[in-house]
Amino acid sequence: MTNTALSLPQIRKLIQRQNVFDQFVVLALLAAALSSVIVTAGILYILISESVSFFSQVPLGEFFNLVDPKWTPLFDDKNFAIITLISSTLVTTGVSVAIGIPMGTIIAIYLSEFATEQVREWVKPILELLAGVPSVVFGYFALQTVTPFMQRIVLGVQMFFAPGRDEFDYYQLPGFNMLSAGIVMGISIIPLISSISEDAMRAVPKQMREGSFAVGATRLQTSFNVVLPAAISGIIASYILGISRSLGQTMIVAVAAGTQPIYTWNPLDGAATISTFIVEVAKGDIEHGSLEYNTIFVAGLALVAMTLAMNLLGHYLSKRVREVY
Amino acid sequence: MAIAHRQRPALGKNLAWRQGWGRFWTAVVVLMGAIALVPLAILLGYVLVRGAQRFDVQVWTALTPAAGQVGGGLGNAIVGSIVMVALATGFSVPLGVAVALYGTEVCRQAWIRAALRLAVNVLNGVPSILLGVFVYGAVVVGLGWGFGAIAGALALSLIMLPTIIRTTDDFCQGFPPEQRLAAYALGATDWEVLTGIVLPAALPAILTGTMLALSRAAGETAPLIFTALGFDFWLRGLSGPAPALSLTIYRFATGFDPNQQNLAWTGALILLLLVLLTQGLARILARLAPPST
Repeated sequence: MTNTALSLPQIRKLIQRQNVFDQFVVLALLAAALSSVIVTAGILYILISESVSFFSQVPLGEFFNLVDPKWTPLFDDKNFAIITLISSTLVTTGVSVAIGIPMGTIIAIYLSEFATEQVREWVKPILELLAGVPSVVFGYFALQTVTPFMQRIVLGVQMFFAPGRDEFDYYQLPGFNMLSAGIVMGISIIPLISSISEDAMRAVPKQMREGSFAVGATRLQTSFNVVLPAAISGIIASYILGISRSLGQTMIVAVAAGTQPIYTWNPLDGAATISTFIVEVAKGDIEHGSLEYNTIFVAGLALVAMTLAMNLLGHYLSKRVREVY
Repeated sequence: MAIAHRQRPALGKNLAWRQGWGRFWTAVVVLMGAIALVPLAILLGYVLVRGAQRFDVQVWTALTPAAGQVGGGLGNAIVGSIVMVALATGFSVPLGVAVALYGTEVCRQAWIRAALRLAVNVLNGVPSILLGVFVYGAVVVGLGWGFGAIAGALALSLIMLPTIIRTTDDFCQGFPPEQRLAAYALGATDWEVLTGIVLPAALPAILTGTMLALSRAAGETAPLIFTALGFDFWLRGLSGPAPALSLTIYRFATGFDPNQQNLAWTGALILLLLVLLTQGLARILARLAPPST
């Protein structure tokens, strides 16, 4: 062994220097951690403070107007009934959930309980690839492929049930409609829902399945009566994630669902959602500090409130229905 | 317990019925699973076929065409996207890794960790367009920096941050404490444990997280509308409107010019290939990860 030949004071000095350096590193890491908290707080702060200045100019009754809702902040005759935008956000999310949740769940059950290893090896990468497809691509797909297809289907259904009229006498599905956008949004959340649900189902211990088989249950009975209830909290978490994603989804609805803020609950119409409105305002010129500028933030706050409410509900639900094993 | 003789046929019938019912529904589940996969396959096929029509050299080198113009490409948009995503990666990876290391390695108070986790979860849950709105309000207008590649990169880095924090955090939590303790026992300082033990082991996890975040950021459109704005010429600097591939797809897709629409499909194909590439890389990196025991 070599003799390091350091005197005691030298060693003490070295340790001290190292301690100072370490404290500096810890401080730097703390600063990084703080910055992420500050950014999150900053997002909420900016949304709330701009909304406060919005409500100092627009009465609350106008904002929550349900009787004659109109949303025309960019016109001379300004109206600010947020329900106009919320209704279309809920309609597109509803359509997307109606498609995405059943399909995502079925794929998850199939992959986790029925599929052979080879099938899983093929399907999982495809799903992962789809999870990475940019939403603007989905939006373009909705507008260019799904909408013409749906137009033909709507026409075909009418011709089947009420034949004999000229083609243009039937109801024509508009080129921008919430139905196509919702369907594609549903497709876009399938990978998210199925991968998280599948993880939850595969985490269910094997013994539970074997116990179920041992008392004579078929594979299907086992999947629906044993695995599904055991994995329910993870599955609900995936639904919540899918719904929040749909609520905040921007490009699909901005491309395919239309840009006019119309108050409607009919998925066959085209109407602007909250996120579409925000994009539309951004495409024009807005003056900093003007009322139009504030409306972006108040619409954003409404969106965050909906997403947050969804997450709280999901948290509550998954706690409530969780099966402990 | 013996089953009475006269009950046996009933039992057999019950079993046959249940098995038949089970087979029927199994077939239904398999069929519906296949049906659910069909639209996904159609989407991929459609992008592939339409995108391949204009997939030539010009796409990579030429400027985005105006409506009515023939030819053109996506060169400036691709460069703009690359610059912004690279900047965003530069911002978010060091910051995200530092946040995760602070949360798992340095911080001793449970409530700080809880606050950190809450903040990251909320950030992850905020719709991406609102991250754009935030950067617009805070940086573009608030700080007066104006539209530009910097603002766009900041918005993208906010999208990447939660993913990077989460993957690093997951790895560090699963990292066996014995290795750290062994290093401490040999007299290593916190800094030496972090850079010598934890970071090298976490590197594949960090890279995997970065790849996933990167492929998501490259396709993001909504936040860039507020921050990069889009531009029809080559990127001239970090301030001033910047072009991006996703923005170009959005603008071309909603327009009516057939040449632009074809280019939009090609752009979609390029983004898809990028996703494929990054996911392949992430998979290879995950396989390279040393077995942590």
